[in-house]
Amino acid sequence: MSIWLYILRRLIELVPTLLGLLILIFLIARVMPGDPVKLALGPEATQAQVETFRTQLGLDQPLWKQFGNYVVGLMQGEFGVSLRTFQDVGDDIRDSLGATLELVITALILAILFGVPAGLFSALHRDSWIDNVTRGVAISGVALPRFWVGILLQIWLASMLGLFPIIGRDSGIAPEATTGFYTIDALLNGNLRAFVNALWHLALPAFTLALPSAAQLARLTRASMIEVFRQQYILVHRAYGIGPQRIAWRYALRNGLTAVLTLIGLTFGALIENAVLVEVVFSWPGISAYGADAVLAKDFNAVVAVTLIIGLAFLLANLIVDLLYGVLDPRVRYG
Amino acid sequence: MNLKTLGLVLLLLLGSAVAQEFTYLESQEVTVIDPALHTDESSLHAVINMYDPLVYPKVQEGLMEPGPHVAESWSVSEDGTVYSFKIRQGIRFHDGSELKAEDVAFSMQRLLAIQKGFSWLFAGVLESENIKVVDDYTVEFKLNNAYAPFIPSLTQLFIVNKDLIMKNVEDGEFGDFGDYGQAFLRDNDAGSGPYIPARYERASILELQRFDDYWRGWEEGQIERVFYRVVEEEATIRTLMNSGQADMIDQWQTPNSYEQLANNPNITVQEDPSAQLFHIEMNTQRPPLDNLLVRKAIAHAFDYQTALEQIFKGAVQARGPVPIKAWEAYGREPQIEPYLYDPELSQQELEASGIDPSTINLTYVYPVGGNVQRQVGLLLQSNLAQLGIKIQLQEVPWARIVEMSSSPESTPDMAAIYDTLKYPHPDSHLFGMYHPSALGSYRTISRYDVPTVSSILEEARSTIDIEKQLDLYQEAERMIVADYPSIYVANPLHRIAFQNYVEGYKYVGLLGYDVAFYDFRINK
Repeated sequence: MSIWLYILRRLIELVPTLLGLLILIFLIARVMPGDPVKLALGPEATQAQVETFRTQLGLDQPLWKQFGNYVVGLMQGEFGVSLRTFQDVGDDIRDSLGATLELVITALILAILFGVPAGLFSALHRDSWIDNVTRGVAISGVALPRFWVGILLQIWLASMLGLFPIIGRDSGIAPEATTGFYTIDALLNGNLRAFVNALWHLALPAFTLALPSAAQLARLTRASMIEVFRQQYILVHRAYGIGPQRIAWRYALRNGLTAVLTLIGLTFGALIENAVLVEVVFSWPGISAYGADAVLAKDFNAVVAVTLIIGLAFLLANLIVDLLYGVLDPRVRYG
Repeated sequence: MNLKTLGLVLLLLLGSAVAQEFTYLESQEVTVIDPALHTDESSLHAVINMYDPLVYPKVQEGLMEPGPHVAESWSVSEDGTVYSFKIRQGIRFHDGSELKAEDVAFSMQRLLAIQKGFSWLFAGVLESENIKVVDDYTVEFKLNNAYAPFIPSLTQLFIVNKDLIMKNVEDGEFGDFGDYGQAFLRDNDAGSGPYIPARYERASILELQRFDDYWRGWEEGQIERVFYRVVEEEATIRTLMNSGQADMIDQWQTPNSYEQLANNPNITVQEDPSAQLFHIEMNTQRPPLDNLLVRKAIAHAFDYQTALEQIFKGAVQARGPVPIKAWEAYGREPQIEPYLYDPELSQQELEASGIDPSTINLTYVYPVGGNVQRQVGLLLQSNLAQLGIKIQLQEVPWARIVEMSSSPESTPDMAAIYDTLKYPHPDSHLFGMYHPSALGSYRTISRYDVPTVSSILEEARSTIDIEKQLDLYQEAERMIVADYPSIYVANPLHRIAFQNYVEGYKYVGLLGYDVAFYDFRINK
């Protein structure tokens, strides 16, 4: 089967998964304790007011009908009305989704750039002082809470040294939105100043978010490489007199990275999850903080939309990882 | 070049510096900027700075009592049902057109039709068809019945530009009025207020630019550009404030944060008794709390002093349900004596009730994350243990408390509640909490329903003579307090912090009105 057919099949397979997720979260969001309409309109709202809004939201209809309406709306790109902003949730999310994805993808790239080479280096120089230092840093990186690291970085690098901005995504020079990624939008507009500004704002939150993931990647890369070095075929290569550098890069690396790739897929999901704390600390206007607020306000349409979108992002990330297995390991066949 | 200079150079390169800029930090997002939808503080701030209300609290005099603003003057008919307002001439909307009586009528009709935000203030009080434009500068409202808090309620009627909105309506449920411009006002404004929004991103920033033709005029030192930024994390807010990157922060931080900020010589922390009540409501309908003597015993068993000093870190003890500020606004001293901590009296009352304390087991409900409420609960728990009464603390989501209080069966025994004044009038904390028509909200967990008190409250609402009216409200309050429906704990302190060079900040007790950027002066 060609790779395109495989991708198509996998994409079709996403539909039942997403539908299951939708049914689950739709039900949970609607049976959460507390009356969302009363909460949205305030304690003083009259009964008539509450009833009117309930009808507007379609909450007076049976659950199955509400679900049907929701799915029909979804097909047309409507996520339902938010109880906090009184506008379509899709409009609320559009800007914040770009902010979170930009942060998470930058953090993922940073985590890979720092984590994988550090792990490789550790494995190659096993039990040397470099290995010990890397392992020490990695363990603390996993253990330190992200929000705390974020606050420390703010106090030292941003407030005391003034090297970075403390909060936000830009200094009032947001580029015209095309992708929702400020860095890319700025480049598309040829606005170098906005690009540098966006990167400058991205640096601390992305680093804070990336740190624990980088540490995890470093630890797994190290363990996985050491495992590969123990394999018999490596022994055979050694016996043929092939140099250690060539063995590591030419023969061991690819095999070692399959496990790492799995973790990278999972890391993407974890980063979205952990982005909540980082977004709050750095006032990053992202979807994770939006989702957390939505749960507290029992803004059910927003809860459903955020879960659905994060779920979709997670599934797509795993699909990409599955495809990359084939690139790394020729034994993998799509079918 | 050392790191610090490098940072400064970067800042200069990347940021732009303009005179009289002001950065305000708020910990909740600005959910809406439409004056028919706002309810929370941050949205109220947006609306107050972009629009003009019909009447405005007398902030300069330090009072929450409403005074003239868009309405230059007003008169009331003998029977208290017809209000006639004279509209000030020469007020310009941001598009240059003049604000007229037509706009005032339209603003009220729009609020009533959309039925969200603060429209409940006028529900059942005023019908849309009873609003009359007499001439360009006179508008008349004919109420269904005489209603004492009508003028105070008008601090929430913000005037929108009718022509601008009608030019921008989209299809909607309101017939000729389409969507009443709701889609348009999501990201735009139609006001006449001192500031125009330059940038609005709900969860991060509202940027305001001075409106040069504002009718009250401008003078030296006033703020030209405001960055109203949303920052949730408390530690971040402190860092921004200490490093001088913010000029003022909101009232929602913990007492510890303000204590820390007060140590910075460049920062002023202003404390005022708030127009807020913190109380523990007791469900007067369910045994054993339906017994007055039991409620009395509990109220006198609570150690108020410890609560005020240790938990609230300085607060005024509540004197009845109405916040002291609300009486002061009308030149009245509160007449209620606060409940006292008196274990002996408590013991006597409990014995007199004839109820065996070991059979009493009550639930005390407070919202998730409510640290103060939890500490107060623990204190009450240990105080009542002296009497042999057991209480259980339950931390539940706020949405759940709202739901529980909607029916008598699910209403908890006790609940710890913060209740802010809804409009600048004692009626807010009397009628809204103790008249049976209000039953079913978190404000009425005590489920108080006493016909004599109800009829006094009704009479007060329809009394025109302000002194007589206030007498009636005070009489009702006395009767309510004698029934012990709540443990009235505190009027907590309202705290806010700003850099020393900010002048003109005044807190009058009415939500949102202290952060009108027009009132501030920068003196650097």
